[in-house]
Amino acid sequence: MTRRLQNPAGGFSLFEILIALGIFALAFMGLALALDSAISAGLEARSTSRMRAELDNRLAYSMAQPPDPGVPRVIAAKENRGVEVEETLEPFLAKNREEEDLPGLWLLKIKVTMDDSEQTAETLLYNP
Amino acid sequence: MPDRTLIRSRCCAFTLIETVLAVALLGLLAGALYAVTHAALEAARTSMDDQIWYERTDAFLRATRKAFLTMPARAKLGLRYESGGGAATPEIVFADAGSYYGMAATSGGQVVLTAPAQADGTRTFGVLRIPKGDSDRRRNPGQWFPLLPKVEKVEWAFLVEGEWRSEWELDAPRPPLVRLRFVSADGPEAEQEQFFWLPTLVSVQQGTPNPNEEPPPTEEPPTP
Repeated sequence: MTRRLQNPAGGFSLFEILIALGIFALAFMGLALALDSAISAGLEARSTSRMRAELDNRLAYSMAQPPDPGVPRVIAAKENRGVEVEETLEPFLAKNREEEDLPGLWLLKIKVTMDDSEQTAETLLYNP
Repeated sequence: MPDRTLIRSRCCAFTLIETVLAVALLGLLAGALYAVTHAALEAARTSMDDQIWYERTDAFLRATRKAFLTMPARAKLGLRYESGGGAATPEIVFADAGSYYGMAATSGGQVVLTAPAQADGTRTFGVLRIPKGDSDRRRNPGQWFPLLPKVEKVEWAFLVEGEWRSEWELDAPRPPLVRLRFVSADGPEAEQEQFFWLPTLVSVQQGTPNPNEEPPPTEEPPTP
């Protein structure tokens, strides 16, 4: 045992080399994981900003040009720089104090999807 | 004595091959570390630039949406083309209104959303405030407030009865929808198509009592 520790050649043993390589690999893997998580966070923030901007834009358009009732208006992701849009218009039932139906109310729903995450917006339209 | 030195040197020092191998391994590891670090820094810089572009563009679009949304009933909207210095510059004119883009009341003047050409060939969206009675805007360069730089091919259009028009007079009734197209010269998304909704104006008859509201309680006259 003493003879092995005091290697007459003065070099490292295979076990020591493997330990050193393992420590280096762990440190390298940690750096790569940190880099990957930083890039993922940046891409997620970019995706969120992109979806929110698209939601604002489509909401402005649909307020003036709503889709046909009951017929979803879909914009494919490949035609819209990676953001899929689905807009629907449904009648919204509301009553007044006398329990009478209030006509002309519509519920506008907009859903945007990008990279497996989605955001939605809903608003009421008055269009008698 | 010379023999001992020779023996010790053979025993304890590194040979040339060992030194070259060690330096080569160190070089390989340093190269790998540099490649990873460089890629990380480059990705972070690109991501930061993209995020700044998104936030800047989003801020400009939000301010413009708010300007269209909050137009007072008496305000007017028009499109004109300012000539001079190359291609004409399309300008959205807000007239007879209170304030836009955080600017103070114009007192009957105009706030103009314009995109003048810059020295590098691109355009910069910005707001120009023209006080009432001031026809020569060049006398007041201090009224200029830039919003979004590095844009090209600015096009405005107005939706009327299902058709997009590229001209809009200041005295015409307001359109329900305005479209802005431009190309960003330095952003991750070059071609932009944005819509701005203008709420429809409705006339309200004043003085008509609401039958659902209960009448306010009347005060009894004080007894003498």
